[in-house]
Amino acid sequence: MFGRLMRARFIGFIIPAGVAGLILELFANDKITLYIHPRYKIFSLTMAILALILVSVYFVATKAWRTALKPDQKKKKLPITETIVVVLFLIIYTMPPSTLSSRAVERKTVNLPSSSSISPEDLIIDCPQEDPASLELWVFYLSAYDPACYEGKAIEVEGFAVDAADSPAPDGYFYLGKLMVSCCVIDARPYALPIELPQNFQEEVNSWYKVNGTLTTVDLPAGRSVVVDVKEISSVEAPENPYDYYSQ
Amino acid sequence: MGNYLLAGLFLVFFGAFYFLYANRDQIASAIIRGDFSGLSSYQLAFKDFFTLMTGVIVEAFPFVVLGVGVSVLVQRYMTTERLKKILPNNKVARRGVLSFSGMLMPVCECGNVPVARSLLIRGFSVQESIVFLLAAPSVNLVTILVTLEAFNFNKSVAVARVVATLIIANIAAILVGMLINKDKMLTDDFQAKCDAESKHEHRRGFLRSLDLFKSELWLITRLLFIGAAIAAASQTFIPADTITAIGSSIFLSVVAMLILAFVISICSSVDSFFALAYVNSFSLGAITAFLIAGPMVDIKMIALMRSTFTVRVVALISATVFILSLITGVVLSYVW
Repeated sequence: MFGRLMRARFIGFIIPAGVAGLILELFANDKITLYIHPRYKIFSLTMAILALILVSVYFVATKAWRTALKPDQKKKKLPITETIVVVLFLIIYTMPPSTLSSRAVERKTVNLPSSSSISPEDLIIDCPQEDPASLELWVFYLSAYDPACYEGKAIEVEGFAVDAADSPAPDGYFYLGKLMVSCCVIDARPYALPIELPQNFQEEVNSWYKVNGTLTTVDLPAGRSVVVDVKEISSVEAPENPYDYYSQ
Repeated sequence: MGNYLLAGLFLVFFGAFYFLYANRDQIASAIIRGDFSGLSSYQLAFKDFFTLMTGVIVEAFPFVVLGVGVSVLVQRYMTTERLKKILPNNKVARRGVLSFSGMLMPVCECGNVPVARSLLIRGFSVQESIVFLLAAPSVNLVTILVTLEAFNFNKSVAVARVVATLIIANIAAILVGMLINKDKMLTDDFQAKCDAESKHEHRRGFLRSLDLFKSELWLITRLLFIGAAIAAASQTFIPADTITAIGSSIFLSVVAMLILAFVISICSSVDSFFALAYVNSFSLGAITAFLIAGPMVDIKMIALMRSTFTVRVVALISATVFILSLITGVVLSYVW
């Protein structure tokens, strides 16, 4: 019975149509950016609609419903690839949209402002006119521009306390970071800023915080780095979409 | 045999999860209510696995639809005679033109597989379709512009990427022609499809095109699921930074970046931004090797290539791309 179902011809158009439907559903619920960069939204929507239209036209025009439940005789009793695909499809279709867990962050190198690793002559000395719009851009700007551009500058950032397994935060600091997506979640990488720990405050790894403070350059054991001198720190709810997206 | 191996791996993978780590109530809560708070680290790994897999599928599927659409148009409107009229008769010149044809089709590598299949159906040789398949993802306008933008501090990265891709794609195609018997290049199913199409070239009606679209879309989607599952599993259970941690010497760092390219399965149009994150840790040569090899051979692409080529062709292409990218990466590391 199960083998007969897996060999049925409708599987061949229900799965591609289902994937297109999943994309449309994610788009309609504004969840598609949990998986891909927003720049692909319109392209993905267009292609999903096109796929659905063509598969539907195929179904009607070729009168495929007549044979939809009949098994494909050329296939083995239980076609393994089809069965795996159907199981995987059912799982991803029924699972609620989700984001990467903290576990994924712990297994990746955290990108930090690294002006100490860039020779002074390579730093850009013409300061940018506007402040960066995301935490990832702050990390990029603080690595690329002369730290003098940002000395004493006010900053407000939101992110989660990152556990950087390969380069733990120096004593008196913790890392506040976000995951940055370039293309889709498979390339998500953590970007973080070193935050000076306020007195009587202990961060909880993976909890979200909003930090107000000023930027200052200090000498850390790993080299000279820009850090955030905290004026105010508060716990916040984790956002529904925790990612930053590549924007340079 | 391959199917049974895959099924075995699949069962071991999910069986281990279910019997060793799963707390049935928490899993049910996660699936039904989206509440992942009670999950253990191993269970979170499986949540990440499905999140990553969904990400790859949602990202790649639209490109597959576009690629299959282009493939159907090629098969419908480009008869073998018409294509051969447009392209040079000389084999080398024809391969040269095909190497650059990605400039007209800025489709990601997953979308190029159905196009390469349509070239074979239209009577092009296996070597010619391999040149197109390997070169087009990197030798196209979008990828070149993005690479130039990402590595604007060293424009030669983009130049090296394009030149090395063209050379490696052509060498791989020549080696396949020299070392593998013509009858052993294509899978039996695909060979039968080519034979059937060549007999019925005149049947290019709308319904025939729809049928072609549906069957190609299902074939590639099926393999996309398998490729996405393997890519997500390898990233969930073999962290990328374990791979990069071995990059202590020039040789090892190039090897590490090549393995990373293989595992990460990222699109050619954005891999430059991803690679940029490794500029401080790896040589530019190793990063260029990543950009060269990734779009040609990765986990997802191997799954897709198996829709058309035999294991020995895919193995020879993979080995050639790996070795030549390694040599290129090491040489560039010393030169730059």
